[in-house]
Amino acid sequence: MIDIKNLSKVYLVGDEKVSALDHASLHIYPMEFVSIIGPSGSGKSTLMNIIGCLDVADAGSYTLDGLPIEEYTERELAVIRNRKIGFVFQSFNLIPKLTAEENVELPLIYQKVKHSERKKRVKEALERVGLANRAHHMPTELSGGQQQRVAIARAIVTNPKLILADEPTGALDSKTSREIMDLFHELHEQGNTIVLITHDNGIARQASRAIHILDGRISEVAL
Amino acid sequence: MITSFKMALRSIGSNKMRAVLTMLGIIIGVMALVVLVSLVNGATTSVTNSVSGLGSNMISVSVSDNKGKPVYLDTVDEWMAKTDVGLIAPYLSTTSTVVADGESSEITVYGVTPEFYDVQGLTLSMGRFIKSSDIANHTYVCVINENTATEAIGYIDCIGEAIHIGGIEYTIVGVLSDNSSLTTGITSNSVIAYMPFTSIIRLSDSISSEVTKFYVSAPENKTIDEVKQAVTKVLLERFEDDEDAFRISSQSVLEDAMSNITSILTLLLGGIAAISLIVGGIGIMNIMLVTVTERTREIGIRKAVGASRSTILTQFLMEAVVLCMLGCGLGIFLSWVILQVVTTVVSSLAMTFALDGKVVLIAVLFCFLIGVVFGLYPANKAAKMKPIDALHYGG
Repeated sequence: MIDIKNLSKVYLVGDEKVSALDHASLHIYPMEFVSIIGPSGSGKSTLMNIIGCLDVADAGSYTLDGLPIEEYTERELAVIRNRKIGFVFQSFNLIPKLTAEENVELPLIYQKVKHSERKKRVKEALERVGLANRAHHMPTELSGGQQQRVAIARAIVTNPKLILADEPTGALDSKTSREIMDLFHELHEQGNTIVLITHDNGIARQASRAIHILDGRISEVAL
Repeated sequence: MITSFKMALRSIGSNKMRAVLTMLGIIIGVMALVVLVSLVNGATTSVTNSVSGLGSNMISVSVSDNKGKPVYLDTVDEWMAKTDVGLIAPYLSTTSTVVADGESSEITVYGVTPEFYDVQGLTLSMGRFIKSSDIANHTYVCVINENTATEAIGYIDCIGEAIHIGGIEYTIVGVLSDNSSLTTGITSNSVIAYMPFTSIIRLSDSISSEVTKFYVSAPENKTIDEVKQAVTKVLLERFEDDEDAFRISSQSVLEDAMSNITSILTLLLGGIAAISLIVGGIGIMNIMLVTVTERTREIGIRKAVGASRSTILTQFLMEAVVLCMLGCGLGIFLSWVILQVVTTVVSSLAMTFALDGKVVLIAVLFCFLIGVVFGLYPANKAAKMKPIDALHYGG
């Protein structure tokens, strides 16, 4: 599903070169639930950006679902993000001016799905996260947990190959976190590939496999 | 396309106050353009109508050198009979004094033939005009305008009254109504009398019975240029092919000059209005730049879920264009309101100021262009943002 070989990324902070990723290699199989764990500054956000096709590496190769990502243009990467990846962010990242329903609809609009089809799939996605009755609420009218559910609905509405979650529970209390994690388990059982990035061991342990990242280097930890 | 149009409307609607303030520049620009040009056009149409209403089917001729063959009334009658021009109206003019209630004032006197009435497009309010029998009998009658009647007699209904011009008593046989055409409108404040061509000769020593000035009207089936050619031919024959012996001028020259002036005026005012539209466009660009910065995060989210560069570009460009077009629509509507009000207020001038379709079209196209031109830079700025930078903006 994901095949990363010798990936390197260097940032320039002032005059100093900071190596965010240092020859990282990684393999993730379809239908896996993998967590990537590391303290802040370990390079996990960079890894997540690269896996999510939001950023490109300086060196190394990255293959997503058989596609050699480094060979694609920015325009094509937008299509790949749209069709293959569903994002869930720590800060939810919903568009505040759009209702829950419209936020979920957004990736389908970019896929140029027909209106009736869109409405149907949005409804299904919101039902799967248990928010069918909140479709017309604005994000500000929803609780943190509910907002994250909307974000998850937005991630799954396109039936992506990969769900990429960056600290999805980071901004939530423990009870809500548990509910969100239950949702991820549910999605995993339904056959979705999930990559979850976290700094919380307790969360990481819930995945079937945890990958440890420190100072840009990857090591696998058995759970 | 429809979806991005709806998105643009929503985004504009979410900050109405700002949208209206932004559009204000465009609204004022469009109003300036449409109202000014429509006003000029309205005024032009009404003035041109009154000019051509009396003048465009008439030429005026003056003879400066008769080559020893002076033109008399008989000659004019001959010309009228044999050539296919319309009516020829010879005239003489002089100034004299009119005495009323012991006070004397200046008066312009025209010696005319019956044809003068039709050629000049005069209108009688009462009585009759000079007749051919007056010419033949050298009668002491005259026709005056309403203003003269008020000034010299004291009231308008003065048919049969006597008027003393240059010490000679004339009987008033007709009163011309003022304001019936542009010429009479302009001369409505002057003191004027018309008398038989043959009678005016006695008024002053300096006037002879020779015809040196006359008007020619075109018959209905001829253009003014054809008449001009025919008259020129006749005059050349008489004056030994000397083109400098006479001068022919037509009102169409006047019309040309006027349309020149008005088109320059339209261009000038339109240009000024266009500048204010451009200023409005810059206002739009400013706000769009602010909007793009404010919505950096939104752009990041949209890019993360699959919006490409061109999608973001279209979205922001659409917003700028929709903003411009809304302003344009409002501006046109307000212009229409203003023109209606102006038309009602100056209804006494009998001018109508209607929205000029061409100007509206130009305004719409211009606004669209401004939306695109000034929207492109901010939209491109938004489109070029990197998704990660945009996502991490402001937290």
